[in-house]
Amino acid sequence: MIVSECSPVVLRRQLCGQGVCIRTGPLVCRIQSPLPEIAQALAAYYADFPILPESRFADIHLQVRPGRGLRRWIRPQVFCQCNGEIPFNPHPRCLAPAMLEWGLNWAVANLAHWYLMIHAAVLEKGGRALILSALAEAGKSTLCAALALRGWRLFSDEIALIRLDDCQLVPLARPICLKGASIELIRQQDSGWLVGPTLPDPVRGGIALVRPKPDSVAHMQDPAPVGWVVFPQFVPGSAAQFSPLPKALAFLRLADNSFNYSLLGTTGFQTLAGLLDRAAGCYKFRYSNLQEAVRWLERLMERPPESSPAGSLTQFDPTIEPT
Amino acid sequence: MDYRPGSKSLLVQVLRQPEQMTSLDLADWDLLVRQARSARLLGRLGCQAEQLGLMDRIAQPVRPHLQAAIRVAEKHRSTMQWEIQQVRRVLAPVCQRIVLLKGAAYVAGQLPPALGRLFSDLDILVPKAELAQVEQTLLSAGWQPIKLHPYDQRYYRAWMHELPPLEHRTRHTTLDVHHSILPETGRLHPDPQLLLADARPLPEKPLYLLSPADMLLHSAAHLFQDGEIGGALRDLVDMADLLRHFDADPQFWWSLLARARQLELARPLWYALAHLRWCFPPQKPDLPALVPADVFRQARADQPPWPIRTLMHFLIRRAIQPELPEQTTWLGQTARWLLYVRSHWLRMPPRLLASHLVHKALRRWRQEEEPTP
Repeated sequence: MIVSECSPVVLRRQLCGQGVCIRTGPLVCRIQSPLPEIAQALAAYYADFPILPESRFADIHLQVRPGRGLRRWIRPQVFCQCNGEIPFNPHPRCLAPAMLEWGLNWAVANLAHWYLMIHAAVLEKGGRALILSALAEAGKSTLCAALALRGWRLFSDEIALIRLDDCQLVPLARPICLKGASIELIRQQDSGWLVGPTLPDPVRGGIALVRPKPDSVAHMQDPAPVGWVVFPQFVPGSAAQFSPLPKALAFLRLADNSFNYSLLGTTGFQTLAGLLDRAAGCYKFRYSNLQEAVRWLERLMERPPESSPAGSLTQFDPTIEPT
Repeated sequence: MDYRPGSKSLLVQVLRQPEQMTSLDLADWDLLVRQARSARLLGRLGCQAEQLGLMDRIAQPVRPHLQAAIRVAEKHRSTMQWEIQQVRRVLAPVCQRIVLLKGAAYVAGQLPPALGRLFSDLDILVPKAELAQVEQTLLSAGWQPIKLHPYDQRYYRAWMHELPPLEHRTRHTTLDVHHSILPETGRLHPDPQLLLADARPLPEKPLYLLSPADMLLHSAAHLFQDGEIGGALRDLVDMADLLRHFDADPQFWWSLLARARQLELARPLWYALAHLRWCFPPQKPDLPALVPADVFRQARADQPPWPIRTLMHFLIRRAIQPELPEQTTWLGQTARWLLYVRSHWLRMPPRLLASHLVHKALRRWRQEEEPTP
């Protein structure tokens, strides 16, 4: 059964009681919450996700709860508990759907050490994965949402899961979290009503969640080999520009952006090295215009892997600066 | 698997008989993994499963969680080892003896409790006379205090058995420098001179471990006198491991009892032995008990009078059951709260305690008035 087949009443009752077990990629999450917003968020953003029978073993246990004491009623707050821990301060209650996403991201990043985990957005097209790795504010989620709306298969907007044995990327296919100005940019291109309402948030300039396309969810158990590794950087006023990055430098950047590289020790090193050995190429990518950036990334992925060893993109576009 | 909610928790049962891990179904594991995580014992279960060769027979969806917990524990262990070396390097010129306590001691001494254990900080014991110099040396070598409030500084320096906790500026590890093992204002006063004098050297100078009896007594005092009841089950597991390890020496038990009297720790020792017997009874009636019957009979001389004994039994048994943070019971919470109150009662004389609590309450109240970022 998938979430959209479950009646709102049943969904709500299950969330209040034993919880709803949802599969996202390789992980089973048991979500519990007395809040109606969470039931609505599941129905809206997780409509195509399978619900598993209650008695199963869940990898992640997440509760989204109303604030304690007076904060239940006065300037109401919400907090989440992931596998027994409370990772964040309480937030205004209107951010409950975002809290669910932050909580799940935190839980995955602190739990799934049977993968190498990198802070990156991952999408797939033509059987190969694109890794967009960057720190906050680089526009990673915005690029990810724009590509997902254009039919790329969504793996994750936050966490790249890399299998330790064969370096394949594993999807989570969960909703994308947009912030501030990027919400309207993405909404303009959204013909399928995938972008949810903007949740007011003075700190981040609003938050909106993007529901993954049914196709991404349907294939969320299918991993993909790496294609390109791109480090995007939003630079206002700049023209789109790829600069090739030696794999050794890409390695250092990815290790820096990893959640568990040092925890995994030698295995972490070998997995990351294996990933980069298999990558067709690594690039720094400067951009300011979203449409232009998307066009460039699509052209990049259209290149067949055998004809484009790292660095060959310099011949393909004259605007690329030398290494 | 058969267990009743009122009896010992699934986690306690599995810790006692790790072989049970192969016969649990997925619903049991769903509970057990959460209980073990909240008691910080999942790494321990993972390591035991691996050691006993059970991993292949454990339900498939659970295995990655155990293996991940082993990885995390391994990382903790190597971090602890590195940290011990850093402290040793810095303090060797100014310290005759650095006695490693608790987790650090288990790692450096390669003792059984180190298996799959998580460590939150590094604890060391130094002579009180060297305390000022030790602190200065650490401050100039990259450690810094984390409790900056003047009241906290005074609280530690005037009344506690340790310096205000230090954190390393770049590695963000916490270091607790003790000059005794219980607060100076507390009811019991184990003489730190005795502990230091009987400490056993490690090959790497000037690192020392407490003697076997003292190591156990410290753990018992920490749990049943200083009241860190939150990690109670983990502490009991530590003690059970130590007892099984030191048991080989026939003199151990008698030196333990004599030493407990000498250090004023006979009462905490009795609590520890009584609850270890309850938590980890022998797997079969004909197997030897964790605590020999004649030793326990002797330790009974220091048990509390019956109304207190019964009440404490009730509270401690409640408090050591791992409670899932998402499903706390009022009974468990009340038991923990009462034990917390008790630990404060034992920590300071009544007048000092009253002024301490008022101070803390005022600070909390003032902080709540401040806007939250």
